[in-house]
Amino acid sequence: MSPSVSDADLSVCDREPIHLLGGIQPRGVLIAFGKDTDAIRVVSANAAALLGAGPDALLGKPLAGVLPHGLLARVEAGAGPGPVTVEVSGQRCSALLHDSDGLRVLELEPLPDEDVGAEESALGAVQRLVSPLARAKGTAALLQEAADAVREVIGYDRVMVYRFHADFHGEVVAESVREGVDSFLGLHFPASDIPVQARALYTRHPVRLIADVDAKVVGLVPPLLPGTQRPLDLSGAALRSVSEVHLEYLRNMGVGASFSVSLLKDGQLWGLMACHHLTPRKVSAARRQACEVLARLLSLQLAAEERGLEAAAQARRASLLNALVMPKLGERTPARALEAQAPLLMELTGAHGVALVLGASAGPESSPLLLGTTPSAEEVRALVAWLSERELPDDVLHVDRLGDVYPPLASRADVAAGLLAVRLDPSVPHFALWFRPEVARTVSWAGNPNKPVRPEPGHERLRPRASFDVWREERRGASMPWSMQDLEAARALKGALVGVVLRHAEELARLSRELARSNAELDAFGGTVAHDLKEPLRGILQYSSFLQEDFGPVLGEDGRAQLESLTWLARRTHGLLDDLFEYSRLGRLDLSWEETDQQALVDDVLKTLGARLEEGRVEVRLPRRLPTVACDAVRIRQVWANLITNAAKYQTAEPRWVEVGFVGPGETRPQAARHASAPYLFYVRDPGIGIAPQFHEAIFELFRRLHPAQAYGGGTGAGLAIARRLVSLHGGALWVDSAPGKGSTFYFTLGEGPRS
Amino acid sequence: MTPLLLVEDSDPDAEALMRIAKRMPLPVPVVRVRDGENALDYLYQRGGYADAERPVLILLDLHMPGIGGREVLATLKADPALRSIPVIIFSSSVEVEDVDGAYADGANSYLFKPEVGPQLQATAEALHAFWFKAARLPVSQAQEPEA
Repeated sequence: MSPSVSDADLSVCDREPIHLLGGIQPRGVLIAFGKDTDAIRVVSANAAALLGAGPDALLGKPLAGVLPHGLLARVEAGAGPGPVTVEVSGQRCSALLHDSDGLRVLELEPLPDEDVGAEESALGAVQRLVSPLARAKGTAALLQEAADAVREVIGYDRVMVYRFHADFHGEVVAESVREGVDSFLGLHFPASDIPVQARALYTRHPVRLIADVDAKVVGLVPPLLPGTQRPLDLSGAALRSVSEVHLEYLRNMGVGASFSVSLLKDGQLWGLMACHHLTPRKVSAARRQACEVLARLLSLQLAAEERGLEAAAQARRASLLNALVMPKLGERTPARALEAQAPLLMELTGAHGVALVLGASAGPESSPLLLGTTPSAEEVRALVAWLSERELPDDVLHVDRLGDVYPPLASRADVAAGLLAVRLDPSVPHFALWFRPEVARTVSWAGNPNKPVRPEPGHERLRPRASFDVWREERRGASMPWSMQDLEAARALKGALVGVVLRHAEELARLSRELARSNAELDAFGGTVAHDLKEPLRGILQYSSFLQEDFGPVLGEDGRAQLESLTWLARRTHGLLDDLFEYSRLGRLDLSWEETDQQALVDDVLKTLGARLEEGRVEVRLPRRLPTVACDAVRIRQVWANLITNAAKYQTAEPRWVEVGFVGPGETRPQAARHASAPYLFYVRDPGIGIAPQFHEAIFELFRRLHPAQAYGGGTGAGLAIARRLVSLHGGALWVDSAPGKGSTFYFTLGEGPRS
Repeated sequence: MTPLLLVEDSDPDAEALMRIAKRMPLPVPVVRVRDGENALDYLYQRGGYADAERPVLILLDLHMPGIGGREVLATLKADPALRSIPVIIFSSSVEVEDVDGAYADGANSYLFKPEVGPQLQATAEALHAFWFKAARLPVSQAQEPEA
């Protein structure tokens, strides 16, 4: 009965030289001899059982004198590919040979009864193991098949596939158990359960067998090598005894024998096939080797699977990125494109929630786009503010304990224990944020390994449940760590986004260049072209007036009428050019906003139009005083002037009137203005000729006239286009409600103020 | 007799002004040149203008092909020998840059060239009333620059 293990022992686990424990398991005999002389230098204390002579008699003797003739030669020849079956003292044994500390180390293991005579070749076992693997579809099925196959070969009660996570904590991801044996599936255990040096050893030497956890360790003779003054290095020995702590752990689990094979991927320890038997049980070297081959094949298969998964993930990422960089209609900003790809975005890094803070969703006033399970918009905004103050190497921050670095969210481990943040733009605080909840919430373990199979005073800590709880405690407030792939995906997204944003910026730059160019062209139009076009018209007008002055009397009635028509046409064209010029300048207008008394504006307009209104016998109706709102007074005066002039102009029947009014906040709005949300709605109404519905938009087009040029005072058709442009520059709208013969009502609204 | 120099590329506008000047009548003759180059030749008595008389007043159009009004103005106002001659800009442009720029370059006033018809007559009358009745024009020839 081994002594119980103390906490202190546990804490030194990491430093225990497990390859120099200086003992072997009693299921075989170890002999180390010189490479040249073949003189025996080290021998296990149990040698007599197999070799008929004890260490004292054997040490210093040539090996050839101890072993049957030709045995060593056979082992030498076969030890590369695997164990060689030999007969020693009438017992069939498997022989293994390796080098250590400058010596050759021979290990002889008597074969278990079931393997004697079976002569099962490793290859045959592998054949049996491998065929199901080839059928498996997907990683989970593959691991399950492998676990079942290994259990069949070694006949153990429980075969688990452990997978190491990025932080080296382990998880049981597949399991094959005999009926009635506790399941450990889903168990997570802390990284310390398989300490660093053990993991290193497992990487170099993939197979370990503890055939009996209660077996007495067999010492080596001599215990220390004369040359090194330390025990023979047993790293590569199949018979190596293991740490007492590990044995106690196994005993506490109710395990009598343990066998494990490393799963390596690209030379890195990916996981273990860990096998337990509730009673002691040997596994022959050949079967061990079969499992090792299987593990290698499984690793290759896993690597292929992972590459496949990676390829699939890549493809998904590519399609996501593709969706980002191929905006439809050329309309979509990166932000909009990302929003449309929300599910993909979450999947990209296996997060439970995503927050996007970019474009329109950035800034102190706006709401970040939240998908899945995330902190609140306000919390995200605060987090972004904090992030934008920090130096982020490569523009990426990933933590699995956000609360440690960012206390405001320490209490939100349920949502945001883990954060993967990517800064998308160096100049503005635009981020993609992925959130993960604390892992304890996402992992449960159905098993009940607390049930002591063999009740005995053992250290409480050394139980799977305790391990699981320790691991859970370790991970309290922490999420699953972000893997390399997660980070890669996030960086790829950033790269793509930067491309998109740049492309978008380029697009914007191109557009603004074009805009600048067309503005310049308009400017040129406004300046030179208008001047050059108007010049000849001025000439026509001048010469017409000279003609009038000099030859008026002799021209006669017809001549004078023709001259007048000529003058009228020239003036009209001149007027059109003036309007076009004005319209072209509107786009570059800077409005000067101020609180403006609309009543004063309208009064001023009426004063200017007074003579014309009187002449046309048009009554102006003002139901109530107009309010004061913010606008560019000069421009809105122009709008009022245009609308009132039009209203007065397009009337034939008496009595003629124009009504100027507004609808205030909270007042009932007419049907035609239900959609307008601005607080004030202004209108100009007339009982005139009206406008057919099909022209309700057309009248706002530049130079679009519905009536002959000379009718109704001959407008150029630019007035309403200019008025609408002015109103929309204010962030408002101008529209008409009218029907032929029913009069017209022109409505307009104004925006809130200068658009930043 | 020192003339009024009219720098105007548009024939009809020039003719209209000449007609008005004749009708007023203006106390000084009007000499018209059709672009900036000729204006400078006239003022510096170059080319065909060797005998050109120093004008008492210049009426200067801004937008002309080749050397524009602004260049003529800047040249004149930078020249001590010529800068005392009042220059009145007579242009159809209402652009702020044109108006402010002309004053910045030393224009003495800026008249908007009105629509054809009665307004032109009114503008011409105003010009006549101010410069030839109310205002005093420089009498002396330009100061020789001190040696």
